[in-house]
Amino acid sequence: MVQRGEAVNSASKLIARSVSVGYHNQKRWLLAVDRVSVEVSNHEFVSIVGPSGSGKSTFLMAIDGLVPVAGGELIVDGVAVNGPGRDRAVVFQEASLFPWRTVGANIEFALLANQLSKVERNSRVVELLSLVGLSEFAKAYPSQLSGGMQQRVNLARALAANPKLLLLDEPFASLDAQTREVMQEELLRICSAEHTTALLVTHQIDEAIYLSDRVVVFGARPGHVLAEFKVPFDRPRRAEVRQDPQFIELNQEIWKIVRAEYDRTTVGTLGQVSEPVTGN
Amino acid sequence: MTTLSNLDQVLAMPADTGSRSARMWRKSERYVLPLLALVVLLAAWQAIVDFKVVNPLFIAAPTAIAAEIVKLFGQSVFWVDMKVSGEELVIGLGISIVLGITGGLIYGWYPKIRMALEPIINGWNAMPQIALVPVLILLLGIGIWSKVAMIVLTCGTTFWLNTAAGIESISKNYIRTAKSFCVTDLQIFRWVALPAAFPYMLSALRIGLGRALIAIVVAELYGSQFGIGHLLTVAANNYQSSQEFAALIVITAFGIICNIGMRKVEKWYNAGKQ
Ligand SMILES: Nc1ncnc2c1ncn2[C@@H]1O[C@H](COP(=O)(O)OP(=O)(O)OP(=O)(O)O)[C@@H](O)[C@H]1O
Ligand SMILES: [Mg+2]
Repeated sequence: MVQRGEAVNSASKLIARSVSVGYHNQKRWLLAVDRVSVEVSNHEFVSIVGPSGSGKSTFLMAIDGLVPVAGGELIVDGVAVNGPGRDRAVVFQEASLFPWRTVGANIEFALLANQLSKVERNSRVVELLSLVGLSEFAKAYPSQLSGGMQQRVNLARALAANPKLLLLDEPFASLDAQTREVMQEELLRICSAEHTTALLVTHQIDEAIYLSDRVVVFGARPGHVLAEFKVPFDRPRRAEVRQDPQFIELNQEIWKIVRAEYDRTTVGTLGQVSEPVTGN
Repeated sequence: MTTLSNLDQVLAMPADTGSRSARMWRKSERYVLPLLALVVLLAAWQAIVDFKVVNPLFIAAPTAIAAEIVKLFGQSVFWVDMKVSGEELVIGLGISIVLGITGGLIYGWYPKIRMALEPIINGWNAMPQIALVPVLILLLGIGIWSKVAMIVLTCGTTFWLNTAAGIESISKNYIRTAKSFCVTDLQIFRWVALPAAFPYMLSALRIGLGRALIAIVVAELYGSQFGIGHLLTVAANNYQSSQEFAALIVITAFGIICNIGMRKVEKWYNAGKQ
């Protein structure tokens, strides 16, 4: 029995057991994440959707070790999370490229904690630049790139140190619809090429379904798990999968839950969650 | 009428309309107008002196000043004065940079230290530090060190406060991002705090250069054996107003060149980095 338990554990990249996270806000204690349990297997792609302020970012920061947990257990690769580690990397929701570093130097930053020589770091940077299709922009500064290109640098930087668990916090939120679709496909390609396990936070339900093996729905403050859905499509997926009736049905089912959550917590005003596009 | 033959000109219209001379004028007016104002001012000044509205013994005419500048450049005494003032400037700025930046970094990085020192630093900054010249001359004599000290007290403050402001400006996002990549606190300091604060240090150098020139001249006026401020004192004591103004103009020109140069350096350094 014990052996079997261990076998299950070793297939799990991330285990969050009843995790609670809170902040001190002007002497008040504010609970942002309330007893969340989520499990992510090796090479799995899991998304979290939920209303604004439901603690999705906070949960991700806790997994990265940037915010301490107030209760419960966070285990990555069988080891309890205690501060940031090289086995995890985040693509942040907010602008986080260093404006004074060139694109190449920004990616290199992820390698400063590793015991690598300058030559080794450089060759890894070159590798990543070509992975995200920005080879000519190594010497450019982030402000000289478009929003989509900046997010690709962000992604490259997060991938640079070969993290086993990639944490993505609304990485494509600021992009236009076309760029976002291209980036989604690119992310899928990169994740399968690098064998990355990924946990993505997004407001786009269709994005969550298209990219993920499973979608976890968070409920409003304090954040808690409302529902979980398995995405019934094999990989590699084509963009046309979005027109599949099953896709549309799942989209609407999730949207209903999120929408009900908004209606419950806000009076009349609609949040940022986009309504599913039905039909063609 | 728009015809095919003049289409090119029509399309080019928004960029440069009107006759060729009108276009030439628009290009050059930003240089011509200030120059014109300067010429009018100098002419008025010359007239006031030539028609003896004021005594030329007290205020020299622009032509006399110009002649004096040329003469000064040929005198070795002038270059000795320039050299001494230049030494004061370089040593004073050097010490200001080291002390001000070190202090500003510590002050900006450790909130507790800032908390403790803030009232003192703000009080000190509000004080006209130049008023300490007599004290410094009593303490350090009329040689270069009283001037160096005056520069350090004024410019050091500029470096200190600007560096601290630079550290304070660092977005929490950057610190969090750095932490996420597991770098040490020392690395965060070296690779995040320093580069984020560096543009602030460059501005401090520009502002500090201006303040240093004031410090040098005032301190030398008060008591000195050499230096551009000493030249001013001697000229004033001997009723050589043309020499006095010549020295003043040399200092001013130096200040303007430093300012423009530093602005160019800042622009060059910050290019692309926002
Ligand atoms: N640094 C912080 N200090 C204090 N409170 C915070 C902090 N960050 C977030 N919170 C609070 O925690 C709660 C959850 O915030 P969080 O950013 O995790 O939500 P989210 O689900 O990511 O929202 P969004 O979808 O808008 O990004 C919010 O009520 C917020 O006010
Ligand atoms: Mg968020």
